[in-house]
Amino acid sequence: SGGTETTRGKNTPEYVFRFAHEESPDSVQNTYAEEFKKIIEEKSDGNIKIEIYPVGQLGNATTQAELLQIGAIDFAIISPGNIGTIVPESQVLLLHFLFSDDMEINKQIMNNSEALYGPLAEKFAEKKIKVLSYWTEGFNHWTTQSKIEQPEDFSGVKFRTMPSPLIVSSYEQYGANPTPVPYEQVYSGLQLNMIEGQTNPMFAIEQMKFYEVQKYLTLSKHSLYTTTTAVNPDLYEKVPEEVRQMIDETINEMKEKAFAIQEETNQQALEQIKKNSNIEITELSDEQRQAFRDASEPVRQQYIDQVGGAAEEIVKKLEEEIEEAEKNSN
Amino acid sequence: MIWILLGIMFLLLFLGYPIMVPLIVAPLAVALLFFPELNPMVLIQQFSIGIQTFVLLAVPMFIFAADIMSSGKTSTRLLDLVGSFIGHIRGGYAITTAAACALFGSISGSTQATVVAVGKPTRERLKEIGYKDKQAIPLIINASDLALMIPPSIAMIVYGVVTGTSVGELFIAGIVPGLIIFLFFALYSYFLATAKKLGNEKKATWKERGRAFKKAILPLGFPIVIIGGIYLGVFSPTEAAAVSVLYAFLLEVVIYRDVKLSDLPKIAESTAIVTAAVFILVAAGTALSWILSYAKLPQEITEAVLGSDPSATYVLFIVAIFFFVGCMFVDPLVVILILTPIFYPVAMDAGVDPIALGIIVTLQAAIGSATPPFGVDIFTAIAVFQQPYKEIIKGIWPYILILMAASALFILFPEIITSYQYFYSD
Amino acid sequence: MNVFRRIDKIQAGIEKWTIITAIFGMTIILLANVFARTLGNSLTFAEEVGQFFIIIVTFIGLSYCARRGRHLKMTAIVEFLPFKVRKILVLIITFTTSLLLFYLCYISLDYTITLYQLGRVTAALRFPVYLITLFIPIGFLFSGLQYLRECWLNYKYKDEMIDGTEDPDWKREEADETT
Ligand code: NA
Ligand code: NA
Repeated sequence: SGGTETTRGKNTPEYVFRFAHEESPDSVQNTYAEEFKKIIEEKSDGNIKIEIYPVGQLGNATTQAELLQIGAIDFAIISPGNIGTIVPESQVLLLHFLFSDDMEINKQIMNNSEALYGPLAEKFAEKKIKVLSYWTEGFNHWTTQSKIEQPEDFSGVKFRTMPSPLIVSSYEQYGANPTPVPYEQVYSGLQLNMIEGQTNPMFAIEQMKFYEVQKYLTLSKHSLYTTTTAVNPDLYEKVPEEVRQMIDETINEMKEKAFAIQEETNQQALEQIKKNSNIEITELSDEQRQAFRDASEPVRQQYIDQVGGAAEEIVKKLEEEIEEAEKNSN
Repeated sequence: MIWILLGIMFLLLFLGYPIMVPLIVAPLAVALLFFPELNPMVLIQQFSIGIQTFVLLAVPMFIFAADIMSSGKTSTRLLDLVGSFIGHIRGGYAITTAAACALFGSISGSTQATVVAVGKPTRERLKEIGYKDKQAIPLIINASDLALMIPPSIAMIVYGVVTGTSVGELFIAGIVPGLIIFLFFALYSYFLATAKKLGNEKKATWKERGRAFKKAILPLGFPIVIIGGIYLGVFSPTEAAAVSVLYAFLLEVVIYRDVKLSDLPKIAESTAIVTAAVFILVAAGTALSWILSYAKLPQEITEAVLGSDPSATYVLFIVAIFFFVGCMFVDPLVVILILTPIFYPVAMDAGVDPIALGIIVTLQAAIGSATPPFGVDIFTAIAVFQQPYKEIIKGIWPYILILMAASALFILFPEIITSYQYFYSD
Repeated sequence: MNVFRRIDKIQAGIEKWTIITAIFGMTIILLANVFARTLGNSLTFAEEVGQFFIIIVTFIGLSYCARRGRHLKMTAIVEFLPFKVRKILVLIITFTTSLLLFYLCYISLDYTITLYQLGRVTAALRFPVYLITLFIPIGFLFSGLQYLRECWLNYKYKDEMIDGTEDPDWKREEADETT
């Protein structure tokens, strides 16, 4: 593909870009992609056309990343949670209790962080993925069969995680039995008690109906479901300056919108959950958060040791930036 | 584009190429002809992704378990049990055959394994009591199709893989439709035996029944362990397949000793051959469906076939026809792999229940594969029974009609399929 | 027995025991995970090890199926054709199939090299993915060679229809050499 140039007729677009993501039509990612399409198509006066491939039609996150690398697609929404296997440094975004529980602060970080747009983006670039922006689909929360207030409450709980060693370690630090299960089997796994808990952002908990088969929803905000809008670097370099500018402008406009989209989607999801079930919803106090943060602390060192290279620089810098932003907001 | 694609595929298929060739050439041709800037290595990526799906592990496991049991005497034990209870009524041994197929199907995922394991002993016995081959063989072929409907089922696993539907739920949803079809077959057997004055077994005493029950009790525990284990959350459907290998091993090798430990590598080899022959098709089918998505073809195809806003029932009917016809020509797994990604999105838009769709699709795969001209089960039967093609297809039509009636019933009343949900909540 | 046939025989043995091992391997890893999870310590790598065995069974089995003539095909129509036409068809089919498989070997090698350069690893064990996909070009190469051999055998023995290169009942080539 590589931004197919077409030459026919006046009304046909000059550039057709393929944009892939893995979520369903009324999801955060699709809303983002549709909005992106609308803005850039208007801006270019119809000269740029975006073809959206939703629902992982072309493959899951890892596959999409590979498709982007070999130029089969042009744009993709790629989540670091899934491509730690390609860009190991990106796993920094999986660390627990790294980000603030205040979304405004996280927004500043995602939009401006030197750690993210500097050394981390370079690591992506080395793997032929150009990150245009980092954003989030919301906080991750826990749903479980028993109440979670302190790390000890996780003891022996068969908890569904992704198979990434860092995520697995985090839950091992809490004493859980981390159990990787494919996403589409999580509901039946919970229903049948093969697993006893899972973690996801609110919109996913609502969409996959996990709340139907769980007793407790802890608004843990232990991590962010972070994602990126990425482009094939060859394409980005190849297109004329004005097209590149339009892409950049659209990305910038989307930075504000992305946060609004996730805010609204997750808020609605929470209301739906409250309306449709009597799952018990709890929050963690500052003290409880601190207990979890302490318990998960060793995983940061594990990230540094395991990934090596720029990992230490990235995590330290990010910690500083977040601390700084939190200080300024008080 | 779609016509070029279909043309190439059918030409190569009918010329006698290995089926993997048309399935690989089609996406390759689309990639090279219509997307010259696309690196063809994406097809290899899809090959590798297509088969690296965790749930698919269940396929070789269920085949392995069935192969171990086919090497032992499990099917005979089940036959003797059912026969001792209903063998004496009119059409009794035919009904026994159907029941034994259903029972063996509840431990094996594949129709072909069932044709071999149950078909071989029952055909001999049916002939002894006066059945002709044209009555016995169609019964065996079609009753074996119950193996696809009764869990575990390879067709359901593949459908689950392609659509992301819960395989465990599909398994449970297949039970009631499978039993209904068994009932239809039993009624037909009764009327056929009455009309043609076919023979039956002599009535067994309760003592004999008890003995047959004792001999069959361990194989009967199979479906209970598998479905129970899934239902209680001890293991996933994929793992259940491995547990069934363990169960078959304990039964045939450790307890009954009908199979020797030294036989196992040979059995595993045969399992691996069947798995490889099927999985290369799964791999190629994934690449084909990927290129269809990439070219945005599924929407075009479904709109051409279904119009813009079809009703759920209409969609189900059209889907049933396409799968039925497809399975008349090629292996049902291949059909499921190619057609499901095309029809699934539009069926969901029309409000079809994904589980109901899966069961309808599985049923069509079962019917189509026993339907002339090229249903795969017919060729299995030719190989197993050493009978000419035209002999085997003679008595097949009544069964096809029964199965089509059952399909219509399920399409009009999908509640029959989804009724399991009343039992399947916490 | 000439050198090539001896090498081929050894290779057939390796292929056979590789796929047998993979089937046993899948069974064991799945069962081990059931026990481990029940005992409170899930094997996080069970999924990827199982998937690794699938790749091995499929692509090493690809060649083994070609030897044994076990790839699914639909011969119902061509069976009605005269022997001579069928013979020509078989020569064309086996030859072009082997060409296709060699081409697939080439692009899958390309894919494997790309994965090597991009350095992707598996999620749990952090095992290099290219070492797993390496079985794909190997499988295509070996099965391409088998189809080429089948083509050659069909050309050599003009009065027989040869399906697979290692039909258990078909010992013609060896018999020819010993007499
Ligand atoms: Na079955
Ligand atoms: Na069948």
